[in-house]
Amino acid sequence: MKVGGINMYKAISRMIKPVYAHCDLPCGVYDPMQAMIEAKSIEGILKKYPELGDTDKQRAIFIKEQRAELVKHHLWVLWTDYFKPKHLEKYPELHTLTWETTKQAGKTKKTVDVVEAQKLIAGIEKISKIFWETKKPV
Amino acid sequence: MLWSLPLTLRRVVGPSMYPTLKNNQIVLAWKSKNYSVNDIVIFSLNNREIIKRISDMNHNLVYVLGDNLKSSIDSRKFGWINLEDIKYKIILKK
Repeated sequence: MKVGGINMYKAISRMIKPVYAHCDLPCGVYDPMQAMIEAKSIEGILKKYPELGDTDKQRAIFIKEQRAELVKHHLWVLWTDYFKPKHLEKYPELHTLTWETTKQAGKTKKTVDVVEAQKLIAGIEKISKIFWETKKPV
Repeated sequence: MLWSLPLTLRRVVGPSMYPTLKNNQIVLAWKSKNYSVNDIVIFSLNNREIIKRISDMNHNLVYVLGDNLKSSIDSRKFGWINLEDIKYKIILKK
């Protein structure tokens, strides 16, 4: 309903207190360890994989894919929310490194080769090193 | 006093509960004392009211997730929340 060109539903709804379903919160808490824990979980699953029975193998694959998706998510949060232009100036390899590491997380979905998980861990370690360097007082 | 009413309206801001709740959608919330898994709840975090769905409960701790997992920062990031931080349960969406 419009009154004097104003959408009354929109106008009234603006007066209702907001509740946030934001994709981010201003908590400022970031830590590459979140991605690392998920990556270590993938590595652990793949180490055990050859000894598992058929049912457990199915579960392992399913859980491994979930963990890989979480690795990507946590790295994207760092990439898009934490790292700032000044960090990229100092660490120009950061874009490529994050891109390659998230691609590597995708690779671990497609394989049962533990080496791929270890490559993922190595990528996260590099991002983590940069992250903690940015945390040092200037 | 208005703040003590057991029923309240809130306007959802953000995409993390999509498709269940869309940006700017109005919800009716009930100040409940009983919460269970799958309830959509409003809780306080960093002095803000946040809306998510209860995914798991363990005694006094609650794990909350957004329905839009790809665009939600939730207990996967900030961990379990305390049951006493939950203020309302969503009972109706418009």
